[in-house]
Amino acid sequence: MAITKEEVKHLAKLARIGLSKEEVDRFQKQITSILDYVDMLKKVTVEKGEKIVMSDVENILRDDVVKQSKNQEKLIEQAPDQKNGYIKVKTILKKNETI
Amino acid sequence: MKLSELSLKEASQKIQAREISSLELTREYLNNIEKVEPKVSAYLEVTSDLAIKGAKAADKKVKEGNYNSPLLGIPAALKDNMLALGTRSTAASRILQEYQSAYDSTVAAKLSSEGMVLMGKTNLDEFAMGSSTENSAFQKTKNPWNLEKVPGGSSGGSAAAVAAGECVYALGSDTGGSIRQPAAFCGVVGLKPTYGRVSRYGLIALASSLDQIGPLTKTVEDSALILNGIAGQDQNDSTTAPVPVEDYTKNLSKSIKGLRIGIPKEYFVGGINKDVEKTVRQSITQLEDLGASIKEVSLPFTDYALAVYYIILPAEASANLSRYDGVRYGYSIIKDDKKIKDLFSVYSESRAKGFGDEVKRRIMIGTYSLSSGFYDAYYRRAQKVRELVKNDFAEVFTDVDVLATPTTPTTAFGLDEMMDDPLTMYLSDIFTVSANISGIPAISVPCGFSDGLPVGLQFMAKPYAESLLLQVAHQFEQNNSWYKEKAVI
Repeated sequence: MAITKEEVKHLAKLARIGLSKEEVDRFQKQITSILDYVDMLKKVTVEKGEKIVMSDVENILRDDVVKQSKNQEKLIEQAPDQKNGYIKVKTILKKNETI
Repeated sequence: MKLSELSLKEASQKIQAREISSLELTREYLNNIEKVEPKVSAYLEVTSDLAIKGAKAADKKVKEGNYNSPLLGIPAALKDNMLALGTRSTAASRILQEYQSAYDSTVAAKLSSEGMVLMGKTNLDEFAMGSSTENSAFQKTKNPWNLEKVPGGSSGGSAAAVAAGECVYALGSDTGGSIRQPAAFCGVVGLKPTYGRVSRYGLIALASSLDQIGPLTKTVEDSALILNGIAGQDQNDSTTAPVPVEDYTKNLSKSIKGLRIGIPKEYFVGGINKDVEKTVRQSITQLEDLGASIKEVSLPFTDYALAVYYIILPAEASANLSRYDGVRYGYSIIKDDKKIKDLFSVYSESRAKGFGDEVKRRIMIGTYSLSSGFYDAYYRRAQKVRELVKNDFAEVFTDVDVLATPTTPTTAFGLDEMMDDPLTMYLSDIFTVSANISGIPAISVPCGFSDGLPVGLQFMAKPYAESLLLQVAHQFEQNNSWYKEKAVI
């Protein structure tokens, strides 16, 4: 199944990956050939109902006990931008904007 | 025999008997790394200081009479997608180039407590996506048997490091063949345990319903010794099963007389190299000579396993890799472009610069198959076919004890040979993905050579039958001398 350049651009946007024009062209061809390959699954007759589990084990629970977590400072230190022990991001709400 | 050629078992006996010290052994390996690494490029980071420190600590323990594990003082390497304190963990991606392991993965912690000497972190395909290790953002690893060939992947650095005598053993991760395929290409033993047998805590996740950690070693017995050290339930990975850990060495020396070995006919059709087929067929005859009964069996859904894999893997990977956002850790565009305008651009430009082609491709395919309108046609359908593949195995294991197949359709291919055609590259996993799709254990052992390149024989067994799997592999291995052949670099 062929995928269009517009679709590739849309996917890239959903996946938060900036693509150059050259990448859009290349990925369009490659993704199309991979989707053509996996299309063979359409030939298989599958039953209704759904079972999507990998492990035979379910609901592993532990007691809810307070314990020391990882070193917060060390974890935050790895953030590219930070201020006063917080991870800093670009403004997402404009002035005077209400939610 | 050179110290760097000793198996784990042999080296540990010498350490226990105080014939050699861990420091001597470690220095020998560091020297060997210095000698061959410029040609092989198996390591992304060699942790000489950590290694020397670990070796001295091990020797102290031996001296004080506290020898406690066959892994004590043994030089080992970890694939660079496993966190280990004191090392970077890059997953061979620019987005994690500077990332310092914030904690120990469970496997690193377990091996450290057994006395591992950590030599360094090995190269891989970026985020373990690939079959040749050429998708590493940093370097191309070469096959020690022929420096113009790939080592396989994604655990190509680990396989090459073992084959080139740069460590006694290494850990790899296997999502669709990433331990077994490079083991076959590099002439070493590679074990993918049952899904749930070894904790993945601290493994940089690729596809969580498929990923499993396992050893790459010089012999099958070495694999059993390492599995003893890393297997078991872990409260930090709730997919690990409450199944008791056995001593995986206990059945190794038992004869395979009377065992039923199945040969799935779907693994001997089109695309398989004639020499590989011949070598594997000869190996099967040997198994028969050892007393096993050989039976042709059928796994009808084999042809669909790779297609299932290439829907499920990208879907899970696209979710797992959403955490690399240029905000929490890893590379961010804000370091290079102070004027970047909004949060969306921080995400998309950090990922554009941080990820390589294969990673971008797979994230987009995963996004596609999970998007509304396509979810039923792709992801849900793939999950249902996955059940059918799983059932194939459940059924066949009522009839036979283990399966024997080629590990790969060909021997190692040339560097740069497949880089422009991702789909052809994917096909090199065709015999290995089914074990991940079904969660069963599988092992690759050397079974001969074709044009100077190693050929791998794969065994598969039912879930948690690692002891049986290792027994069959060991009996086959010891009946031959392939494992004694060393690459000359």
